[in-house]
Amino acid sequence: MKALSWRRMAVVAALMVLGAVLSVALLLMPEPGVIDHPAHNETARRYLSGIPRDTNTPNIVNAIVTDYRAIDTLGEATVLFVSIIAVGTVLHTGRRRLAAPQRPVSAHADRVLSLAARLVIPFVIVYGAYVTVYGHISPGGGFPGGALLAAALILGTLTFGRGGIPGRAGEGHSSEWFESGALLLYLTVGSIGVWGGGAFLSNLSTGVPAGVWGTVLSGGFIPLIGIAIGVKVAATMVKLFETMDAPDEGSTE
Amino acid sequence: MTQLNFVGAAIIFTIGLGVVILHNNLIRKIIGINLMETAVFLVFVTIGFVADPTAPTNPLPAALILTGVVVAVSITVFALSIVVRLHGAYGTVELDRILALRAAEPAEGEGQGAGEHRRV
Repeated sequence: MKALSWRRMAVVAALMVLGAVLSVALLLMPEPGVIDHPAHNETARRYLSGIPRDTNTPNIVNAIVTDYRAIDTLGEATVLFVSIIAVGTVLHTGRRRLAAPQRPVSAHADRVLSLAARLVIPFVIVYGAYVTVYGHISPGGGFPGGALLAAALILGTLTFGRGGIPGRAGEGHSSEWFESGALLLYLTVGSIGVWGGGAFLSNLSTGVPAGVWGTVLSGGFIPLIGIAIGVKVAATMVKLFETMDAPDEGSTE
Repeated sequence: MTQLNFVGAAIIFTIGLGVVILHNNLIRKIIGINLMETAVFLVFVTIGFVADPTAPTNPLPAALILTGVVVAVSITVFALSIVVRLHGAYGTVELDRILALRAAEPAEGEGQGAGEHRRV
């Protein structure tokens, strides 16, 4: 035991040295915040000056993600897809799948929790939808909006149990449908650009109506892609939660 | 003054690495990995900051970090699912107990699936 604590102390000392080295290395980098920082290069200036003209939207970050680098975002959606496949492969190994663990109703009947969840969930869903739909004209976008929607749905499942959310079907596969549908929406929107004579996922350059600056219907395809990302992220998070919530026979206690 | 963010990021990174190395609980190790990721995000977002209130903030680091966050979520959920699996097989999430159980189990137990090794 004595040797173990010596080892721990040695590790802590090494970590302190590492932290100091990291601090010094970071402090030797160009000072952040100044206007002529090397990170504020011509790429950033090009995006800052070009995006209001090219996409007709004020949210620069969202425009980068959903317009200029939309194909990278498609790859990111694929990362989410692959994470579901990986988790499903690890947790479901082809054995007989147990029914979803039905927590007894009494476990969900905590009065404070269920009342607070009932109060909070509608607002979280509305806010998540707002962040998703208004992502291109205000701070937000499909990723945070989808995470908010998923948080509301997961909170509901944790509080009321599976199938316990009023008006929601119990053992559905709705998250899978939403997930595939969102990806298909993304690909369809991208293909319209090809049909219009541009590259895959090209937007205003192919003659899509730009809309009125600052309204929801602006930026061409950007709102549609934002909604696709939001639904995709929400469905992925819910699906991951459901996969981990109902593991196979071999991994229950 | 913004350079304080860098010192904070170095401290958070070191704490995360310390949690990964020193803690025995696998879920705590995953939390440590998340702390390290958060430190990297902090460095990136700090680089994008512009102190001049009339100039717009650099959008590139924020757009890049979005990818980092998605990858962090994917890595976390994958690691957690492996922990769920290990807990099903060994009944514990403490690394030293898992290693002890693995060292103690007979060799012919291999190939029957992790669920057969269940011991508490």
